Formats: sequence, structure tokens, C-alpha cells
Amino acid sequence: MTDLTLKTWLSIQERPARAGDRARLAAVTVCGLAVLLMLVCLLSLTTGASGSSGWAVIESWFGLVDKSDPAVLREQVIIYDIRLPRMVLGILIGAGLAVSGVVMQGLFRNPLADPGLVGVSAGAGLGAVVIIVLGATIAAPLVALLGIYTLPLSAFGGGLVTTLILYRVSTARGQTAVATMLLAGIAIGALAGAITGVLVYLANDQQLRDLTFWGLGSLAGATWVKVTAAGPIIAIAVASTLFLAGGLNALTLGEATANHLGVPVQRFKNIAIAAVAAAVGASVAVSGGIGFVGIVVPHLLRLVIGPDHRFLLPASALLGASFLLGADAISRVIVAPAELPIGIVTASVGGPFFLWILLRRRDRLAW
Amino acid sequence: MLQARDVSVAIGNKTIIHDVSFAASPGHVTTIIGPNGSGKTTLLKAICSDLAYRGEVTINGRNLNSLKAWQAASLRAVLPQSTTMSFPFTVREVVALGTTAGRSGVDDADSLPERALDRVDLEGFAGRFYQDLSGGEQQRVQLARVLCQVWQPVLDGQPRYLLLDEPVSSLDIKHQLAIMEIAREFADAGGGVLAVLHDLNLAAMSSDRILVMRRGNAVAFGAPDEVLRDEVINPVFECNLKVGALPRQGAPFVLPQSARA
Repeated sequence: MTDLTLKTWLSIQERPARAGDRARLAAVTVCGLAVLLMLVCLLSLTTGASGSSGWAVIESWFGLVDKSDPAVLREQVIIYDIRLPRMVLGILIGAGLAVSGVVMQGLFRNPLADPGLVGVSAGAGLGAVVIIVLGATIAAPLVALLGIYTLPLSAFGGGLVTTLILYRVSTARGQTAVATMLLAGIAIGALAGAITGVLVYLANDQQLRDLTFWGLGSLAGATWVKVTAAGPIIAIAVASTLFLAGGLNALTLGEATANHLGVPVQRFKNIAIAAVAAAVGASVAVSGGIGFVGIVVPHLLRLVIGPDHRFLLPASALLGASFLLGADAISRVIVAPAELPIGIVTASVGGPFFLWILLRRRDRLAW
Repeated sequence: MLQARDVSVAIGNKTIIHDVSFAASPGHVTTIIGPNGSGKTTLLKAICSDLAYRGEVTINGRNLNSLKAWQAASLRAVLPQSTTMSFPFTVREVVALGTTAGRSGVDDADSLPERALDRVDLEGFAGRFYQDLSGGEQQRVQLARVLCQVWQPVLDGQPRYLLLDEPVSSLDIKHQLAIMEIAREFADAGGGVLAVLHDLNLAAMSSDRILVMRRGNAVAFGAPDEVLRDEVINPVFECNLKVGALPRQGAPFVLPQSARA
């Protein structure tokens, strides 16, 4: 189902320009975004509240500084144990959220679909809140059993259960009705929100503070443990979506026509939904609700390279990662030494930018 | 051979197609005619496996239900009545989606969208946005996509089929004739065509076989001169039609057949 082989990519660069063929532009854009991500990674590693540039670490590789010097050791800790895991997590979550947006929008044939909209994020959030509030009491045996993995797994479970309920409600005789699914998603999201509200009502002051910061979203708590817990899930989910490109392209013509083109539609939808639930659940668990990535990034890219998912998926993954890392860098320095939750940055950058795009190009977005 | 045996379709508790049997042969243009609501499109959807049915549909002797989606896609392509795209694709990108199944049967698949667009008289439209086109132009873009999917009417010795649901419904007379010409050439090259048509004259001039539907039943199946007779079509269309009767002397009438004379 994938057309994303290296051979295809190389042949795209060689073939003559044809009217209406945006493949070459798209391939160049993907390469450009890869370079952008590298630059943003560099920025992410060299900025922060400590003011450390990380130069001493590079010097220490070449034996130019004394490795037992406390200043060098401090710098090594900042880079290796604070900024590097944060960068890795930022890349994975940014890519995961952006790609989940693309897949949901393609699946629902609706440019406004987003994991946040169909209740997947709300369900994952509920899974996380349950552990934050009840972790010391009712859910204590679970915490004892799973340790630090309790929160990510619970959020992932919440996202998956929401998706499965959603799917169960909106699928009859092997056919998923997209309108029903969107409406059911809104209902399930509201229900998950209500239960979350009850738990918030039960929470004590310390838990409320945890909840607020988690809810706004942040990469601040990034550790190698979190990277190990959530990273593989997100990475596998993102990688697997690249194989969905051909099917998502066919689905833009409608489910029946996708089937006529040879896509096993129902099985395809099962795989796509599982990938989205995994990426969103694991992301929400480690970083809370980071909004706007899944909707701004794919829209922006569709304006530039068009809706061909063979390019939209990798481009969204790269730009989503850059966007989140950039927002994280801003959140770290803007009120240093304190830190702004990243959700505030993504929303205040993404919101106005999105409105600006809508005003300029509203005729090209969708119809 | 595309064959339907005792095909029935029920939606909910209501049976809307009753035990229809017929065959669309390679080399033939087969059309389905009948009044609104007679089950033409429903029958076609069953044959495209969009709808569940009882009975049996076979393509080149293989049961449709046992074919995987990609196997069916390499044996037949389907043109729906109308198609809305959910995202802003260019015309070329839409047509290129027809090569998704990878069984066009040509070496140079890269230039296939351009050739298909030429074929449906949309040369120069490749860079336009699909949603900016008129309904008739969109329908021809979709036909170009469908042609890409089964560009070779016969591949690996297997005849392939075009299933067209009212392919000319929003087209002007020139393009109606052009589309039926494409269907004819596809059939002459060894493929099979099954089309739902509303225009009896167009059906009469383009078909090798006509299936007449009424209230979910097949009431006649045969060559045009066997089927298009007063006693067949009057009860079907509930009009007092007279096959071959000319209008009163001097009144203008234009038949598509006259363009071929």
C-alpha cells in the first residue's frame, strides 16, 4: 500500500515537471523540513533557563576541558539528562500529534477532525487524571504494580477504550458512519470531561496543582524514563502511519470508491484508528493536553504541498516536531527561570496564525 | 464474463432487487435501463460489492465475495454517479489516484494521467483544482481516473470491466457521444462495459445488450432490437411510447445517432 520507497523518491526528483503534479515540490518541502528540524533540535539543546550553551560538552568530547571540573559536569547533566530527553520527547510528541491529526482528518474525510475533537484526547486525559487523583488511594495497587508506567499506560488505555466505544457505537454491519462517529465522539468527550470534573472536585490542593499543569501540557517533566515508557509506542505509531498514505489518498474519494480502488477499507480503518489511539494516548500521558499541533500543522502543509498523504504524513511529522520543539524553547526562556506550560505557547502562536491562514486562503482549505 | 445469478438485495427488511440474473460479456457494452427507483444503481452497487446481496456474482468465473479488494480492483473499475473530494486535489492528482491499485497494465504509468485526460477531452486541465470544475468536467475527471485503473482492457489474458453508473448524466451531447465512444473502444479491445443509462436513444445506439429493470425485477435482457419494443418499454416506463415513430412532419428532433451517420 505504501508508495514511499526510496526509489519513488529518487524518481520524483528526475521526472519532468507536469502541470498539477506537486510531487516534486512536496519532496523538496519534506527535505527542507528535515533540515529545519535539525536546526530546531540544535536550538532546543542550546537554550534554557540555565543559560548553558552546551559548548563545554562538545569541548569535552575532544578532551579540551577537564572532565572532572564541576562546571563541565553540571553542563553535561543539563545536556544529557535534561535537554536531550526533552528534545527526544518533543520530537516524538510533536510528530505523533501532527500525524494523528492527518490520519483522523483523512479517515473522517473532514479537515476539522482531530483527536481532540472525537474524544480520544479526553479519554486519554481521563485515564491520566484517574491516576493523579486516585493513585494514592483506590488505584494504589495498580500504581504498586506498574510503578512509573502507570500514568502513561492508563492514559493510553483511556484513549484506546474511548476509541473502541466510539467505534462500537458508530459501526454497524462492518461500515463506520463518519457523521455518527463525529457526533458520538463529541458525546464521549463530554462524558469523559464530566467524569474528569468529578475527580477534580475530589482532588486535594496538591493534586489540583498537578492537574492544572498537566492539563495545560508541558514537556518540563521529560526524563529518560518517560522517553522509554512512551517513546517506542509513539515511534511505532508514527512509522506505521507512513504505510497508510495510499489508503488515505484513496479514501478522499469516499469509502466505496476506496474499496473499488483496491483498499480493504474496514481493515484499513481498524489499523488507522489503533495507530491514532496509541500515538495520542502515549503523548497525552507524558505531556498532557497539547493542543493545536494536530490541526494547524496539517492545514498549513496542505496549503503548500497539497493533500497527497505520501508527502503530507512525513512533512507533518517533521513540521509537528519542529513546531513543538520551537514552542518548548520559547516556553523555557520567555519567563526564565520559571517555565510557561507549552500548551499556552502552542495555542497563542497557533491560534492567531491559523486565523490568519483562514482569512488569506479560505477558498483553498476545504469546501 | 461478469455474471450475476439470482442476485437479490435487501436494505433493512425491504427487498429492492429480486433474483436478477444476467451477464456482461467481454467485447460487449451492456447497459441497464429502467425508470427512477427501478433498482438500476442498486444492482450495480451489489456488483461493485458496495452492498451485501444474496445470490452469486462472478467475474471471469471467480466469485466476487472470495476476491480481495485489490484482486477485484485489478479486474474492474467503477465510476460512481458523482464524487466529492474531501481535500483540494488538482485534477492530475485525482486522476493519478486511479493508478493506486498498480494494475494499469502500462510501462509508463507516470504519464498515464495526462493520456487519460486527453482521452476524456480534458487536455490542459491537469493543473486546475478539482472543486473549481463544473459537474460535467468533474465527471470526466473521474472517468479518466477510472480509465487509469484498467487502462489495458485485457491484462494477463483476463478481460477487465468498466462499471459506469450514469456516466453521461451531466454531460453535453458532444461529451455523451465521446464517453460512449470510449466505452465502445474499451469493449472492442476485449474488455467489458456495464453502464446504467437513462437515455434510451443512447442505450439503443451504444449497447450490445440491454437489461431492462422495473421495480427491482429484470423484465427483459437482450440485444437492443429485441428489448426496445413497445410491449416491453410501455409498461416499464408507464408511458405510451412508440419505438421508431417519428414526430409529426416538420417538427424538429435530434437523435444522437445522427452524429454517427
